[in-house]
Amino acid sequence: MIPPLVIAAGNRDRGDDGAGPAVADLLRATPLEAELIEPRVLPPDLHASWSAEREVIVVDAVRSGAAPGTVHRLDARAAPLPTELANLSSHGLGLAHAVELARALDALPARLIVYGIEAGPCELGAPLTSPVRAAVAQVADAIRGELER
Amino acid sequence: MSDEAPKSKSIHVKALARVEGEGALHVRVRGDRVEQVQLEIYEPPRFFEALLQGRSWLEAPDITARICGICPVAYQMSAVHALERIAGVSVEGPLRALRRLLYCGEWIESHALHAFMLHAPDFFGCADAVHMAQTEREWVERGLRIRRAGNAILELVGGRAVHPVNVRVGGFYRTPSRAELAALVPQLTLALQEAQESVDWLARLDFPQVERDWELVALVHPDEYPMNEGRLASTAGLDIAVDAFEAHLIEEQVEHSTALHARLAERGPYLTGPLARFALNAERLGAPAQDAARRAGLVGPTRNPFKSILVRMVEVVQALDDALALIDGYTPPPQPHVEVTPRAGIGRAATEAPRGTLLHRYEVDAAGLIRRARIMPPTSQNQPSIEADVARVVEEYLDDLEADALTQRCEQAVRNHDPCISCATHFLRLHVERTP
Repeated sequence: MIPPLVIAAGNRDRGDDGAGPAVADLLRATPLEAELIEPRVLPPDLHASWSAEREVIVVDAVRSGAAPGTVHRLDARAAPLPTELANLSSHGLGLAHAVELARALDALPARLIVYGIEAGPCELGAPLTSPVRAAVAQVADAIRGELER
Repeated sequence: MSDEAPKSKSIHVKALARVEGEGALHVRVRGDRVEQVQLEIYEPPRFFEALLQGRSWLEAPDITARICGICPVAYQMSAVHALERIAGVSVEGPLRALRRLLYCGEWIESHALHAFMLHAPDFFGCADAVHMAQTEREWVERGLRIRRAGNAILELVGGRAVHPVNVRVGGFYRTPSRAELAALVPQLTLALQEAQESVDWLARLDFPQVERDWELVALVHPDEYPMNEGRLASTAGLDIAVDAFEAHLIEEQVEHSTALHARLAERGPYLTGPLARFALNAERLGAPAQDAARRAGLVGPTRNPFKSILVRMVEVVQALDDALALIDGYTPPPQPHVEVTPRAGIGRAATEAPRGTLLHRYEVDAAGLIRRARIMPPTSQNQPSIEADVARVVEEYLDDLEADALTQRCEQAVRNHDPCISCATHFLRLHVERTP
């Protein structure tokens, strides 16, 4: 049986954009029944990293206009990702784009849960803000829960 | 906003989507005349030139690779060639071939990303590649496969696809075996076939019929389509050794952008990039790329900026054809790098980044510490030409297109040039006082 795949994306050196890697750090602290990858920027062909039968969880910082630290949990197989989950990176096409491109190409995995952590400032070199730090702990717990199902 | 006259109209595209980095475009129109076009760059200036001062010359390829996530190899290649000139070392044979192979990987990856994911959707009236996949699915899939073939080269020869870590002054830290390279051949062969088909697909697009009279500047090499070496030449007769570039290419600060703007000393704005390379080097393309270009109607210099997408795809064919030939002819070198020892001096080099000519200049002391560095990225060289181009597009379409469509057309005009805006932000030594 292929273990689930957890994709924790973001840039540690850019304030709250480091939410994904911070979740990865917490998940790595204790044994994890999943493969964990940590891309700095999501590639346009994110779907190349999974096979059709895989269970995949993606966590990334997002900006939808909600308060920083807000956690969005989205079942990508149930509905398209809202386009207002705007891209934070100036170099990648973004979370919603990568997931929706996978959908358009019939390349969604068997299960795809997306955690979006609403980001505050993403200044170069800044640490995570405290609401996002709290959200990171909450999401790491939630992902453990998802994996134990 | 400029509403002081009834016929005045402003178009502000605040966040320019599908351009690397972050930028904004300001166009001011009065009546049927474009008064002002400003491509504004607001990504914070990056202090790379200052950051390099006092660092070891051996660090330059790794530090400058961080300037851009899409074209790091270009920065590494311009850095190592400039520094090797100071050391009096010339890297030849299999190490030279591997460098070209690595550069091919970057051209393939960068051009495929731009052509299929960022630029082609404009021609299909689609907001992005997700939309385009609804009607052009197989081409989106081909584009992604071609891009992955480029990434596979970067991962093997560069150590990883983003910000490669295997390049050093004098060569590489590790060189691949023949078997490792041979394992890429099936993927590259398929990508070559799909890139050739993609040229034909793109050639069927409806291109706006425009011509620009800009001076095109690129490296020219007697034996190969230029990547790592050559003289700096132009369609208006410039023909200089790269060592002389500072006397001819002038950079200036402008108020609205943190990227410096460049011009040719005697003549003004110019353009680097695929159109320039093709105009000055088409006869040195290999047979597959020449055939593809001919089928696409690219005969002689192309001055239609919208057709840059065709030239980029022809260059992908060339890079894949080159990559296969380089792998076929590869014999591992006895050492992964030639020995280099620092000595005091000044070295300059230019290489062809996917977006255009990238010039580096370093001054190094006898201990190998960098005293001064200067980096001239392609986007800052192209920016005045891009602004002039957008002004023409606005004039040409002002009466024909609704505001949203005109905005979209302006964005497309910028994307024609694939500006790596985060690459083009530049450190400023002087503060210029702004007056209203």
